[in-house]
Order: sequence, then structure tokens, then C-alpha cells
Amino acid sequence: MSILLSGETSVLVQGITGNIGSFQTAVMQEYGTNVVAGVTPGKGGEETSGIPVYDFVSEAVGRHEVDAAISYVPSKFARDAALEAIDAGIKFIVMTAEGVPVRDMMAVLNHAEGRGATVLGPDTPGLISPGKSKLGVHPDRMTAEGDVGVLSRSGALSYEICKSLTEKGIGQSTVVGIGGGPLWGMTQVDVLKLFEEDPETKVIVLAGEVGGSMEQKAAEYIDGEMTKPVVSIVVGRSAPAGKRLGHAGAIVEGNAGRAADKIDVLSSAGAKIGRSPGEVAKIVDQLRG
Amino acid sequence: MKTVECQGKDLLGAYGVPVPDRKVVTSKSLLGLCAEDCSQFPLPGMVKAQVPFGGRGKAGGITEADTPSELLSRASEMIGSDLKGTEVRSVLVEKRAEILDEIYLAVTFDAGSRAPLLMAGKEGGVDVESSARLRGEGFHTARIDTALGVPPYLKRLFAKKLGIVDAAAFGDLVESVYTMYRKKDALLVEINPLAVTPDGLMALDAKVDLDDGAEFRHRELFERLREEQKHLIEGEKGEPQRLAKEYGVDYVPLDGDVGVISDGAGTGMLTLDVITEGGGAPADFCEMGGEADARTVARSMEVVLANPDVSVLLITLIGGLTRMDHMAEGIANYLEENEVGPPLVIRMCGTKEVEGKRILEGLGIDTYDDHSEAVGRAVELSRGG
Repeated sequence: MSILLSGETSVLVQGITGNIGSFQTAVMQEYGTNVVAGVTPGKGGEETSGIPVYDFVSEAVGRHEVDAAISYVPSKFARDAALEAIDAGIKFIVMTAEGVPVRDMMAVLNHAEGRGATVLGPDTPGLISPGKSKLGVHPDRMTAEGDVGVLSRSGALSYEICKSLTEKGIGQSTVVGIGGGPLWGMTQVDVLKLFEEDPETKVIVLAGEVGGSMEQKAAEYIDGEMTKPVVSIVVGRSAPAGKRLGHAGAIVEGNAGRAADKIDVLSSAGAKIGRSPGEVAKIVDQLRG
Repeated sequence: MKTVECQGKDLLGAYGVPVPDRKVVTSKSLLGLCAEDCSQFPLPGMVKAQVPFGGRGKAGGITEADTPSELLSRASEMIGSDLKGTEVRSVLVEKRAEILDEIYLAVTFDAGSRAPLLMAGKEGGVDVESSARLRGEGFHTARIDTALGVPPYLKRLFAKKLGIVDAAAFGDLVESVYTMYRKKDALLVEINPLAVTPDGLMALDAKVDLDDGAEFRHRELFERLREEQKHLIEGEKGEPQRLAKEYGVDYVPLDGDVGVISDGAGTGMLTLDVITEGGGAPADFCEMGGEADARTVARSMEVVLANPDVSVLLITLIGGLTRMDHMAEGIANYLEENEVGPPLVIRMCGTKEVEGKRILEGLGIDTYDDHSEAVGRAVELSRGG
């Protein structure tokens, strides 16, 4: 088992003929992802890496079973791509674009909620269930199949954590990037819930960062509902107030969003705290005995 | 994009929010010209430094002028003065309002409910600068359903809670603010204070933050605001900041001497943390993003190394989308064309790392595979080790 993504998950790629879309589709296929169709307006009837391309998502879902859609489209088209996939009845939508306008994300997330669809992202590397499938850009060499669930706001930080775990011989069940914000589809709590329910996942690594109050909500959930051990790292401990660090959501405003407060609440909720990916891996190793 | 007060008031005014009569002055000579015809200035007035940050009232950036001569002396004193480390380039002169009551009003978005959030409080004024601090009694919030807008009952309810007698005028004002927030893709529209005056409600300050991600929908507006800001506020001060802006590199200057470049926001923050906790001090945060190519890394090096305080340059890379062969090419290109004083510490792993490392080895540059080791080495070098 893994969460959200298994070897059977059938995938549709939006923006499949673009530079990034075609390259990443080939990489996903090579890894074993079951990519069944692609969409690029105006390119219907073509093929990319042996995958049929359609003009519209509705045309693709008429021909193929599609469980999940991932979009590699510029941020200005991200809203329309997501709405089209949701309207076509696809229930899991991954949005990789960075810098999607907040107004557009509100529209997408409201629409998804009404249609019972789940959105991951935006600004997400996607997710990987090592050894089974990947939906996004996670470098697979740093991951290995196993029983540690990893979730992170930052893509690159999750790669670092997986690298440290894998080097210690510890594999991962699923690695999920939820994105850089400032608005998120799936939140840390949503992903924690899935890991808690997943019989294969034994330990969870939660990688948070400065800005907002998402880690505070995660801590409440860990404290109240979780039985599995959680190891956490929060980056931006040395972040100066009022400066946005790379992610739209990574900013300390006044006293809100500070790393120290997040570490305090997570620690009080019972999460073990690591300061570097190496330390995180060490703690996970100890927890697994 | 954060606008300055006078720009925010222009935006609000265009949507029907009552704002004071006002005039912006951007230079002393212009001020002299204007002084020849004082009727151009709304007096008695407030003289307000136009700076891109809050808390200017307490720092002495707001003063009053009753007569033309007072205005001249105070405005010319303010222009060119230093306010919290920033040179004041322009002042706003506006009609002084008779304030009966001050209110805080803002529209922003709430990440939790993924909806616009209307916020209002009875305590407007100088002590309420940061929305993050507004959680106390007498402060009201409501999430807005974007399909419905702000319903009339909510406007009446807020008016009652805030003790505003003219509920209709308040309702119109809320509608204007919300409409502007939506139409202009704002992330924050804050009026603090919104004054109750004998002549009705009046926005005495305006803080508007527009969504950079939505620039493609508002090209002309962004261009105009940027052009205005060249005259209104001091430009980027240091050479690295100026270069970063020119190249579109994500760069935040810090106080230390370890120059940092990373290919991800989270790992960039991690690097700062590990440096700091290891006894070093980062000189900057510079993140190239997932789609960086050879040119991005060369430009980032140029930006970070333009800071004379940098004693060692640490580049931490973990390729997902970024390709290490491209990164190595960019580093090689930069080193070919530039003499680099500070030692270089490079951590490289991920997509195409073998090819990347081969290129750097050809230049006699060792790379690290382990993040902590690379950071440790950089900190050591920064201490003269």
C-alpha cells in the first residue's frame, strides 16, 4: 500500500507536448507510471512517447479510464487546466505551476470541493510512491520503497530527506509535496490522515517551514488523532521577519509564522524534532528500532 | 507588488472609496514650483512620507502643516531625509480630516478557508500595523463566498458592530473595497484608519498589495505602478539587489559573510539554518527555483558575489527539475569570464549529477555529496579555516 498513488493509478498529463511536460512524461513512464493520455489544446491526434494526445480532457476520459491528472502548464493557464480536469470528473488533480494567482486558486479549490475532487499543489513537485509510480518531478534515485511516509511544503527539502533516509537503508511508502503556498489544496493534515490510515506506513516525516499556521493545525491533529510516530523538521529557523524566502507562503509576519513556535507546538504534540535531514533520518532509524 | 500610500489611494479612489484631496510632491524643485501657487495644496494638511513600509508615523514620517510656509519647510525637510534607513523621495500632502472615530478595515485572503476575508476593528490608528496581531476583542472577520460577494446584511452587521451610524455609506465603501480587491487581484487591501468625519467616511491611509502572479492580467497597471515608484521611493540600494532585480533572481540580503545559492526554497532555508546553527552567518538567501538553467546559476553567482562581504560562496544543489550538467556549465561559464576571490564550496547531487561533477572536476573543483558536510566546510572557510 501507499497513499494517493499506486502502480495501477492511471494518469493524464495536461500540457504533455510542452518542453517540461514531454520530458517529465517520459521520465514518469520510464519509472513505471501508468500514463494513459495527454492533453494539449490544438495538438489532438498527435502522440508523445507513444501516448495519445487530445484537445480536451473530456475527449481523453471518453476513451480512457483516468484516475489522476497532472498539469505542466504555465501559471496563467493553471486555473483553466484544473477546472477542465475537475469538470471531466477526474478526482485527483496535481498542479505543478508556481505563481498561480490567489484568485485563480480560490476558484479552483472551491470548484474541486463542490465536485468532490482533491487538489495537490500548486507549486508542488507532486508525489512518488517509490517502486510503484511517480506523479511529478521527484528524482527517483534518492528514494527507495519502504514504510516511511514523507510530506513536505518544499520539493527540494523532501528530496534531501529521502536522500538521507535512503542512504540509511530506510525506504518510503509515499513522498508528497504539498507546495509552496500561499494557498494549498491538500494540507499537511489531509496527508497526515492518509498516512495514519495507511497500513504500510509506520513512521511519518513532516517537513514544514516558516509562514502561516499550517503546522499548528498539523500539531493539533498529531496530538489528538495520530497513533503513528511523527518526526518533524521546520526550516526557516534563522529567517528574518518580513522577508519572503522563495515560497509565496514562506514569510514571517510580526510574530506569526515563526519556526520556533511551530517547533514548540509540534514538539508538544509529541513529534520528534530534527534540525537537518541527517538528524531526521537518525531519529526515524531509532524509532523503527 | 506592494504599492505606496498615494498609489493605494488612487486605486481606492477610482473604485469610489472616499479619499482626501491630495497632492504628491517628488522633488524639492517641484515643491518650489508648487509653492508659487499654494492653492494647489489642500491646507490645512497632513504631510506624509511615501515609503514602502509601515510604522512611519512613529518614526516621524507624518507631520502637519497649517500654512503654506509651514508646508514648504516641513515638506522640504522631509524629502531627502532618512526614515528607518530609507531615503524619503516623495511626500503626500493631503487635506487634514476632522476625525470623530477611527476604524480598521481590510480585505485579504484566508488560507484555511480558501476564501477572501473581510476584517474590521474598532481600534484603527497607529498601533494596528500588522493584521497578524489583530485577534482581540472588538475585531470582526467574515469569510466571503466569491460566488455571492459581500451580502447586504453582513455590511449592516459590521456597521452595527463598529458603531457606524451611516450603514448605507459603510456598505457602499465595503462594496468598493471588495470589488477593487477582486478586480485588481489584490492580496491585501487595508484601510487603517478608516475615519468617521463630519463629512462622512474617509480612507486616511491605504495599503494595497497586488498579486505578482496575476500580473499577466494587469500588465498596464503593473507597468504604471513600477514607473511611478521609480520617482516615489528609493530604488534598490546595493549592487547585488539592483542586479537581482534586473535579472529576476530571488535574492534577500542578510548580514553575514557566507554567500548562499540553492535550487529550492526549502533547501535554501535549510542551508541558512545549518549555517547559523553551525556558528556561521549567511550573507544572503538566493533561490533559483526548480526551472533554473546554466544562465540562472551564472547570474545568481554574479548577484551573490556582488556583495563585498561574501568570504565564501556555498552553492547547494539537489536536482529534481534542475539538471546538474546545466548547473555545472553555468558555474564553469561564470568562472571562465570572472575572477572569483572567495573560495567556492559546491554541493551537487540529483538529476545528471555524474555529468555535472565531471564538468566541475575538469576545472579542479571538488563537489560534496552531503549537505551538512558542505555547509560545515563553508562555515569553516568563513572563519578562516
